Amino acid sequence: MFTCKQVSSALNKKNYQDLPTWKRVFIKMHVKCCLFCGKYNTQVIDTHEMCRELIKNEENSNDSECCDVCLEEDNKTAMKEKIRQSTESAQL
Amino acid sequence: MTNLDKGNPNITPPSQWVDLYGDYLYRYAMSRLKNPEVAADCVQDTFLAGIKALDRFDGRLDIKYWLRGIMRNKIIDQIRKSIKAQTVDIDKEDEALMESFWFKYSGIATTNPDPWEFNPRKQFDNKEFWVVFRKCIDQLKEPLKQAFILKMLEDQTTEEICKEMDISPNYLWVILHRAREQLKVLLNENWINKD
Repeated sequence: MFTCKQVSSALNKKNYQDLPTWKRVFIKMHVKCCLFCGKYNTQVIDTHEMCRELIKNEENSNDSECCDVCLEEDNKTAMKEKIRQSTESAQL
Repeated sequence: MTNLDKGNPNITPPSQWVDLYGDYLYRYAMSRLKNPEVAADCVQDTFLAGIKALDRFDGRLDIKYWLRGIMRNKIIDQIRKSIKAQTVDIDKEDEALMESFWFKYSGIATTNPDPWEFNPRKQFDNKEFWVVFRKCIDQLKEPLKQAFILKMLEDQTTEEICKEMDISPNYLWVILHRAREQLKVLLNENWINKD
């Protein structure tokens, strides 16, 4: 069984979902019963899970829905020119 | 012969990248960096790096996501640069937290944190929630936001972040604790009052 310090340290080093399954089981058991670190570390796990879901959401979504900003036309023109130059030099 | 010379039909020619993927990559960069100029530079650097690395593109991923993978490294570099440009000061409250009994004994800040005012797990399928969540991350104060993005979203190690920020692992713990607390307050406010 883990101590509170070991649970906190494991959650601080790695995201909860990246820990091995056996470790996650013990951590989950610990935070469910622990009167000292249970509430706090449950919230740490909540944040880890939210971030993991956000990344999944970003990877699955066809477009980044964070905002409706677009590149300015001037930027696009400059980028196209740089790409043209870079492609030409790559082909030489 | 390179991927570029072969005219591989699975590879969108770089000349079309700006029109097809420019806005998508720019929005992604903006979701992490929030600075239009830096985000646009990041997109441009990504395209140029993509052209150089095109030989290594094996077609397993859509090229759009392959370019996004390149851009994630560019974003991490940008955040690191901006972290290096600032000094991270430890205030008395943070020092007290690191010296507190709870931190030393169990690696936590308190036994009784403020609760969530809603259950975030129940919102995971709600697209609107992720829009609010991203906005709340944007509203975190520096350097909490940078540390939070590097650690939680870009999966950088504690050692790497501490080296960049020139802080101890204990202080990074304090910064991430403050970021989580701020995020909870912002989410409680913004999600519950979204209408």
